[in-house]
Amino acid sequence: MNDLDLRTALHRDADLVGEPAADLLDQLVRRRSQQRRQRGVLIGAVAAVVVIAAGIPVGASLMTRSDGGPATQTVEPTPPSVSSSAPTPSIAVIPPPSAAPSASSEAPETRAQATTPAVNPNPPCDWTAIGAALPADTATDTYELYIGDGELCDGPWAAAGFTWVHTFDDGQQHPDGQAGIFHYVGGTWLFLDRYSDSSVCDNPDIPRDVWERGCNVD
Amino acid sequence: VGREFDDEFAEFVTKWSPALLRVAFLLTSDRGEAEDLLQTALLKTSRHWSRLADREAAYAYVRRVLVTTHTSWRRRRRVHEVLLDSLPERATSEPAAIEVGRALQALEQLPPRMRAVVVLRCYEGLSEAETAEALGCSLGSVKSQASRGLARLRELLAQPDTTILAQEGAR
Repeated sequence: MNDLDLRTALHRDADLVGEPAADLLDQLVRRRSQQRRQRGVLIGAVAAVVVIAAGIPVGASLMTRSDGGPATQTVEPTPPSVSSSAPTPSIAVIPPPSAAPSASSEAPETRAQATTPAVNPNPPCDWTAIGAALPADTATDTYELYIGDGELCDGPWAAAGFTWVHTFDDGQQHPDGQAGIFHYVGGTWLFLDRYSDSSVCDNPDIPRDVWERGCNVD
Repeated sequence: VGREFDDEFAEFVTKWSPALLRVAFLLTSDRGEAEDLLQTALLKTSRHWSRLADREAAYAYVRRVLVTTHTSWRRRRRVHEVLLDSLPERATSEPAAIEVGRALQALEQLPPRMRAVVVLRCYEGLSEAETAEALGCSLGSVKSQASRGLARLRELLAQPDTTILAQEGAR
């Protein structure tokens, strides 16, 4: 089969799809308003989490002020909504920072202090840790950061190229170069898959240099 | 519609969506998925429409979004496929297998990136450089994928029809 035959076959098969829906624009309008609604719900949920998180230290300080009162003398009756939910997120969200290990057995004030290091404006630009954030290898696909190709860190953001190698059924391997964006959150570098979620690159927090390296490539 | 979208964008959708849907169909082999892909790409484009200075290049822009979105969809789905011991019955693709042509069946055998290269080079008629630009990868990568993809496609098309379907079912 020559190139022309192949091209003809592709054109013939492509025509099998027919015409787009007559109400394509209306469908786009509906999807867009649906997306807006979902975004509104998401923003509301984030706002709620922020309000709850902000309320935890207040609640904790109120609890310490009531020392000596009947409520703190008996340990068990502490309302589950306060005792179980309040400390857990703050400890879980704070991963490695140095103050964290002692936080679990400390008083509420110490826990409140421990939340501070989670927002680290200048995390270590550790390419081993950044590379570890790439998707886990599978039987057919491997992912590896390549160094020496203009990778860079800027505050809690980093960008670098990585190689995605796909192995075919016949054992042949195909390497593919891609650009990756990484974000340092809660003491860990996270890989933001801009191929799965194109809105990753719409984030205005991404520094210009990182955006140029990781997003402005296709 | 006019208020929701820029008039020019609406005009663009009307004019170019048939051609874009064909590209989406070659990438997905499924009409429903192709429509979903096209809508997703158009919605992504609509968000940046006012910043698209070169309206004549808009088709190429949407096509690029189409391809990158599809690649990411496939990558995400493949992860799920790997997690399964064996694939469930291909009930959903049965109607498509009857309807679609052989070239489409053969295309289904290629990995997403390679398939995109073949579609852009062979169907859309892009040069290697244009394909590399559209996919955000190197010229060398396009060359190797195009050559390997076309060879594989020819090999598959040389086989009897049932062989392709059997291989597809075995995936």
